[in-house]
Amino acid sequence: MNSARAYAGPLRESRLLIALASMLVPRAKRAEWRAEWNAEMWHAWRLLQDRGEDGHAARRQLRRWSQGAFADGWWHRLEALDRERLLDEWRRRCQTPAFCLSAIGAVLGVIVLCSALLPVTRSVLFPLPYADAGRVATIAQGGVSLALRSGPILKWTRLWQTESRTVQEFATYTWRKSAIGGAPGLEAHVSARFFSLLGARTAAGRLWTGYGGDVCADCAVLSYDAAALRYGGAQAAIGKKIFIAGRLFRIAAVLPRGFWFLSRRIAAWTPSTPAEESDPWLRTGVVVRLAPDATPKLAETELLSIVRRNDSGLAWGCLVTVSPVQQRVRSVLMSFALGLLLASVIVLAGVHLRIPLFGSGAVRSGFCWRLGPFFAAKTVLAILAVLLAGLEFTPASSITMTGGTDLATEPISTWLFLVGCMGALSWSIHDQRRRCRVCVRRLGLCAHVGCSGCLLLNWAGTEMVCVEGHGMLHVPEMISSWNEPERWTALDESWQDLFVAR
Amino acid sequence: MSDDVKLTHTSALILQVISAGCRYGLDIMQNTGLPSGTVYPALRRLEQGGLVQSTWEKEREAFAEQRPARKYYRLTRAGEAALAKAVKRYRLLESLSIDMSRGEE
Repeated sequence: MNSARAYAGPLRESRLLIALASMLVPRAKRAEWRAEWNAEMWHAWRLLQDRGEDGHAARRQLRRWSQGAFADGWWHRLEALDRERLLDEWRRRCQTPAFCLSAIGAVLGVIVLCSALLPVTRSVLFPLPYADAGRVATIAQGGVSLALRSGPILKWTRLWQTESRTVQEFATYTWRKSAIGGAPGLEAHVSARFFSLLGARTAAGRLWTGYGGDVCADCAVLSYDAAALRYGGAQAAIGKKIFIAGRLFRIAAVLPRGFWFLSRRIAAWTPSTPAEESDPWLRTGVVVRLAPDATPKLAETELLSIVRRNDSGLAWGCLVTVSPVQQRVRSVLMSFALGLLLASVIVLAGVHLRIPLFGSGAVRSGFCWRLGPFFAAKTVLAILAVLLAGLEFTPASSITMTGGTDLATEPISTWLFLVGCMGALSWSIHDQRRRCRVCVRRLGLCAHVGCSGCLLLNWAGTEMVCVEGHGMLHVPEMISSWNEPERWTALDESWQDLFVAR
Repeated sequence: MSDDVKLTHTSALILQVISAGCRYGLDIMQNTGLPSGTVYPALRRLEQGGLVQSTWEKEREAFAEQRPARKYYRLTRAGEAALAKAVKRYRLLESLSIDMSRGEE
């Protein structure tokens, strides 16, 4: 066989692929590796020709065989890697402050993705979807000694409607779990003027206003998501019949995307039933629009005086709370600010009162300027992660309005945030105490020293060293009165050789 | 690779065909039906583990036939022992018959 034939056409392509794949192979083995692959493909091509498989199929087959060189090349590349060195390098990177911040950032990213881009948080930060939302408030009734608030009875709401001057409009609502179009969901019963009070608009259809008897008893309003899920869009849902809690309704309107009240999970809104409207003792949620010159405090005083004047027996010992919706929704930001404030107070107290928050070395003058900003960034990110997780993953958290949609969720989310904040802060401080006072790397090379049973005349504990050789931290096994809780020993330059050698 | 190593089915199959007389990668591919991206790395692993040994064909012989020299593989003693164990584990390997004429040129 002449050499011109040997290297022509498909073999040239094969050799090119092998040459590319050989870049993966360590230089020392490359020549031999290429020789083997080139020889194999030469023989492969000859085999195909001898079999009479010349043509496109044979070329394709040869190309397929040649592509295996990449897998073989990768095998050589991975074999050449020094796994110990890589592992060591990975450990060193894990100790850096950048890695710590990146890890918390990754957790934040996971929360953002899992919650579908923070819908609840966006509703806290963005303006509420109501007309003149600053004047929309909810009313709750509570006792002097009763912390849990509930909706007022309908009898009082009627009284307020006729006598109040600080409140322009009233609407009532109740909510329950029910079957919506055969699937479980949340349904709200709202009074006639509910939507007009909020100034709600529609994505399709028309809402009842309650004025001049404009209420449709068998009409339902769907949320945008519910309409999109069941009918593929807002317009397609209009006029369709749907069973809600066993009753047949006609879909009169679809609310715009992003509209929510009480909870984003409410899928259907229907008019209050006559039975609900006529029961004076029924407790309902009450949403109001305050008069332009009225403050919540003024409204509370007036509403309480109205019920005391007309229903003194029931009103005795009661409190009426008027909570502006916007303020209540944004109270979550206050929680975050409180968490940060708490962290700041603890840190400042630690530094000024020489409490060993960051270990003994940190309170001495001359500690690394990066310690503070790193601690601040780490703590803020950790608390932010706790806050976002609490907001997004607690079904109806404390940002929902008076009464909430689930009585259990408000305390749960509050406790979750409190416990989470404490956990985040504790971890942040603990992590900080285990970092080098100079380069802010996490300390490593833990070694147990001393004898655990000889605490009286001896000391025992764990020693950690900065891998860069800046110092050593001694953490005693048991903190006793005569022993410094943690000792940071700075290592001078004479130690550097040891760490460079490592 | 120690004696008590458990071979994968692929590795055992490759050892079996080498034992049956397949000596180079293309031949092994032809007789096992495995792709080149599996066969060659597996041969490297087996060689690294001391189960097979590779030798280059003498240049003179290859030159006489006007073709490039190729690398041949053969089982080592450890490879034979490992194959014997693997055959007990993978019973179907025993019944494997190899048509040596298929890979021949």
